[in-house]
Amino acid sequence: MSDSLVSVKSVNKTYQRGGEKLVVLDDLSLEVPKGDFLALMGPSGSGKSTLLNLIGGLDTPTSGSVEVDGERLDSLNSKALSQWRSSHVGFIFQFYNLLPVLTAFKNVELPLLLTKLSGSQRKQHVETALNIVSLADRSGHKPNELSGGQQQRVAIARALVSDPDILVCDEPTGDLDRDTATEILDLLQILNRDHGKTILMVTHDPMAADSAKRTLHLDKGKLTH
Amino acid sequence: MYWVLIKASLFRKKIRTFLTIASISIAFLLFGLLNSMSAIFTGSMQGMSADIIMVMPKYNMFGTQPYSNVEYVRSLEGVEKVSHMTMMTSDPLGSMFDGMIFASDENLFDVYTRFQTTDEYKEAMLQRPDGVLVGKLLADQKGFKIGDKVRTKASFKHEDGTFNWEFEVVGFYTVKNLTGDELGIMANYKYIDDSRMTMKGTTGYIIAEVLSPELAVSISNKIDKNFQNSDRATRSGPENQLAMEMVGDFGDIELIMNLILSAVFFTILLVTGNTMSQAVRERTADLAVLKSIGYGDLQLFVSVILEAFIIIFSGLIVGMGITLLMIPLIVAASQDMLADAVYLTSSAFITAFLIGVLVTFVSSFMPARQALKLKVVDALAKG
Repeated sequence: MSDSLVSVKSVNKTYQRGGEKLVVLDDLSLEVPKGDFLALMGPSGSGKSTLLNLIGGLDTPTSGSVEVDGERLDSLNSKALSQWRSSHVGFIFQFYNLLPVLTAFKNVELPLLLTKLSGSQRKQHVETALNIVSLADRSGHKPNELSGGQQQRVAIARALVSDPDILVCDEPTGDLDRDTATEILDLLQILNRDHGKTILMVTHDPMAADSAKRTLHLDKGKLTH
Repeated sequence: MYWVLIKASLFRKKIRTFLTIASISIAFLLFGLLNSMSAIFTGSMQGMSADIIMVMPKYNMFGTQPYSNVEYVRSLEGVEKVSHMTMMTSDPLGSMFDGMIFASDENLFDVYTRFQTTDEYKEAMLQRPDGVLVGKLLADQKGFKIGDKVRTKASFKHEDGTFNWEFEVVGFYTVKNLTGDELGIMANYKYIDDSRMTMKGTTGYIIAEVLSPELAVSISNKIDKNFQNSDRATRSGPENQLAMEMVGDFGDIELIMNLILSAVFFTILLVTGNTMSQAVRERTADLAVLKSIGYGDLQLFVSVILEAFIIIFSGLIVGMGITLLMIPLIVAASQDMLADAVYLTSSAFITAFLIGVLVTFVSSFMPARQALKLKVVDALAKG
């Protein structure tokens, strides 16, 4: 077994659009070691998000293999993939995607409702996650009562709460102003450095990419450097 | 887990959820009210017996037939007891009350056992030709006491050339179940017939108790056959069946009720189906996120079904609850006339429950399937 947490081998992803075959990832291979903070950059349509979705278990490759922490994701069915995602990966999206009628606490608790944890255990986990993102005092607020940066912090707490191996971030600062984006990137660095989380981040923003330990570029479905 | 998801969905658009539940409540209120009053339309009122037959003029239910028909019915084999009623309407403008005066004989209480009085009052009626028994409900409303005079302007001309009639209250009667019948006054047929100027020797309809309910139809047929093609043709049948037929004369009540109920449920289906479709469409991104954090396809499918269930059953409980609250008000507004005709049976609740379950599945299946089939990647790409 390799030291890589993520191992993508000879992956192809194609879509059929009308009569045309669209190649999104073209024989792509990638290794991501445990504890890495990797930024993926590239023009729109280069396949960044598709690669992220494959590693996060949201999609399956047309061919090739995707292995995360020893688990072959490309061979799992939909139900098994759901179960795998609930305990191994945390997602952070550009638009936060919090449920508007739930408080910050309840939003963070959502992944834990799938576990067998008791109410008090869930409470403990949620409070820990909210503490990490410095939002313990806002746990009773609903998303519309929080700023964009605070909503993204709640989303990060939700991604962290089940203690996943890997955090998958799709443009996490894309909807934030510069100062708030910096705060979020600092937080991701802390999670990577102090909490040992492996982070994969898709971004168009060179400043965001600078926060990562390394950056890879994609173009037309291939890694360029 | 499901409650958190359902609550999040129900409270996302509170006004829409409220209006949807309100619409469904109104639909079930209509269902409940129609059901509670179905006894009125179907003649299945309590107190009507299958072993009592009614004989009335064939072509005009408010017409008259010769009194000799009473004797004919009495002579038939299988007929136990016979009585009859002649209705006199009273003109509210010249009367002390605007109810019905029915002229009958002492046998009425033996045939119509739901009509009850005391032997003392029966004897008083026999002793005093112009004596009347007042229905308890009417007596309570108008404050009639024994010895009071009841003056009325009636539909029959008195032999004195006027329409004015005067009676004396000699007692009271009560009616089991059909308390609306207590709004009348019972007079001596013989006195009325002797004192009226027109239509002498006729009566309105005949009532007879037969030996068993099985004989009711054959005896009725025999009576009608005997008078067919004559100027005194009759329409006879068991009391409950005839009541239903009379209602049917005004139209196909069952068809009308079914059409109304179909419209009600089609409305529920449309309202809930539309709400659920909109709710799922608006929550595409939420559902995608839930799937991304590990919620399974089936879990989200079930949560949409449960959400529809809660909406529909909230409406059902409110609608049927309001119906239950309204029934006493309707009865009170009818001055207790409908006390035993307006009620909800357990089968109405079971039907409502089954309709609720059916509508839940029909209205939410497609939106739930939409949630089940939702591809996370596509949904997230659309934002």
